[in-house]
Amino acid sequence: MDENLRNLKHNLDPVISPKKYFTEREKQRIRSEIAQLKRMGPVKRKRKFYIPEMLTAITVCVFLALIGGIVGKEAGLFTKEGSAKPPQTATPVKEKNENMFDPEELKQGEKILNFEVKKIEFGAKHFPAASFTAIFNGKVTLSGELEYVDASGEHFPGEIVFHPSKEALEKLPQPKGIQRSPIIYFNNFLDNQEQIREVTGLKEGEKAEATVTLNQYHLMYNKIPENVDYGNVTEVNGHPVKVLYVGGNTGVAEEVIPEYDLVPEHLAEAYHQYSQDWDTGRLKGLEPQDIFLMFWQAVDLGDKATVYSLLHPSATTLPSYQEFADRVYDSKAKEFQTLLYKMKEEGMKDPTVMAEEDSANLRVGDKLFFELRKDEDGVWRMVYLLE
Amino acid sequence: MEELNPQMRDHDERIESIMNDYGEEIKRLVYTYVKSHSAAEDITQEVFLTVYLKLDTFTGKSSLKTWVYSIAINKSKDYLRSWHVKKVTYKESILELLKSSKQGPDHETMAKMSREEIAHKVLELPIKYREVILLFYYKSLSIQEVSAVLGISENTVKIRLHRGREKLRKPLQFLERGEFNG
Repeated sequence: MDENLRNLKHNLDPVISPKKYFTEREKQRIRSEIAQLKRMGPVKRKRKFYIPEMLTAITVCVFLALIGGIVGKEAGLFTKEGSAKPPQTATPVKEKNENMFDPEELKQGEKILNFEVKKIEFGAKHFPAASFTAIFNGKVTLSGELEYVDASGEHFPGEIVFHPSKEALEKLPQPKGIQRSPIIYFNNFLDNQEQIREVTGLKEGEKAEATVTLNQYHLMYNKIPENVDYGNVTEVNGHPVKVLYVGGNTGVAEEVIPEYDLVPEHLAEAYHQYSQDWDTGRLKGLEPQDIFLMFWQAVDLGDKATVYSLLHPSATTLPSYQEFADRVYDSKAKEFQTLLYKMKEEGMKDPTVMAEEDSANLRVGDKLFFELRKDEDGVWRMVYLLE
Repeated sequence: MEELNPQMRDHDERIESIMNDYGEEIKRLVYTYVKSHSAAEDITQEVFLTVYLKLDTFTGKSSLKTWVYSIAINKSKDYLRSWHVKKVTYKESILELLKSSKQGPDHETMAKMSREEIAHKVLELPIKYREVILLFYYKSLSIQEVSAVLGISENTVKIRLHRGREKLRKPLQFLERGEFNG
């Protein structure tokens, strides 16, 4: 297999294109764009990415007219007086649902049902046809139907999407006055998809009633017949969905612990996300004791990859991950468990920390000392002698 | 004709040289993310325009190559996150290419199929594994460079490489045994 991977260039290049792939014509296109930029001077270049310029313009105009119309109508902006702030009585209240919000008045931090608004974007740049997106943090369990779209389907071929029921839709924030029946697509979809297939046993082309728990909801409003929203799924039919690897297999197989034993509540989400993707960015700004607790939480859960990822790469003599997972971790497992047991007895959640700029010492009880150092990204990592 | 100031001229020369040095490999790298030729072309253009616009901000802290790679990867991921790609999915995907290229079972075609199937298997990996496998094996970046380009730690690169290899182990073993008709 390694031979095949080493030959990947040889294997992949002809599949992408056996000929020169970046052509003189493309260079010329770039030169023309640059020339145009120069002519435009410091004015910001108009984005014309992925969809034709005219279409963008039309979409935006139609959207503005639509949103303007709907919101304006809702807010009573088109009353005869033409006042921007018409009297309240001019706004007939049709919707009393607590999940409804006015897109123009939505503010970061605002609470709607179980959700809190994390971010709002109008005309979000990564969603050229989207006119409005809002990210809501909050946990909700929804009823509806999971669909494993046929591989020949036009949209989402071979993937699983969720159609919330009418009742479920009332549990989700929705823009006031806009008719929507969104499909929910799952974030981290590549891994989640695999797990949802396992949990539900759905086969291609099948649909099944299901309950799905989300901890984040991305609402997107755009001018297309179907609205595709996104959700971070944590459970399907009561089964936790988490990216875990057991013996090299991708699967569900283990239970998510919603409240971690060692990491405090304010760190739980960061830990949860980090343990799935080991993205250094999630650790930036965390304190030495946070990393310390995350490290031992991973030990407690037997999550070798997260343990490894939290070790200092140069202060600790690190073997390859394969060697760590196959040999080193097991040889240290007893030591880890003993330490963990002692620390739990001593009250490890509140260690004594002596931190300097780049290194920190932690003491649990009277006898257990640990060291952390910052790596080159300024992130604290555990120093642990493995040999 | 408009007189270019020295800085602009310098930028023009640099972008030409960057396009010559990295154009081919950047477009191929972008393709491994987006798996669409037309998107790869658009994104590559965006990459070099961004490079041009940001040349002043390039401090030389990382190598030029890792800087350009980072821009290309970020642009590709932006595209993958876009509504557009979720909706209009992979029309020119590698699968289509592979389907159309399957012909008679002569030796040459079999060898080609095997090669294509390997590429196919790698391109089917979830992105977080695919990108480290491709940067490490296909683009021959070191672990350190992959870490810099993706903004993840070296430990994470090693874990993902290991996981990616594990995910490929079974399918590639089938291929090595010649069971690659699936």
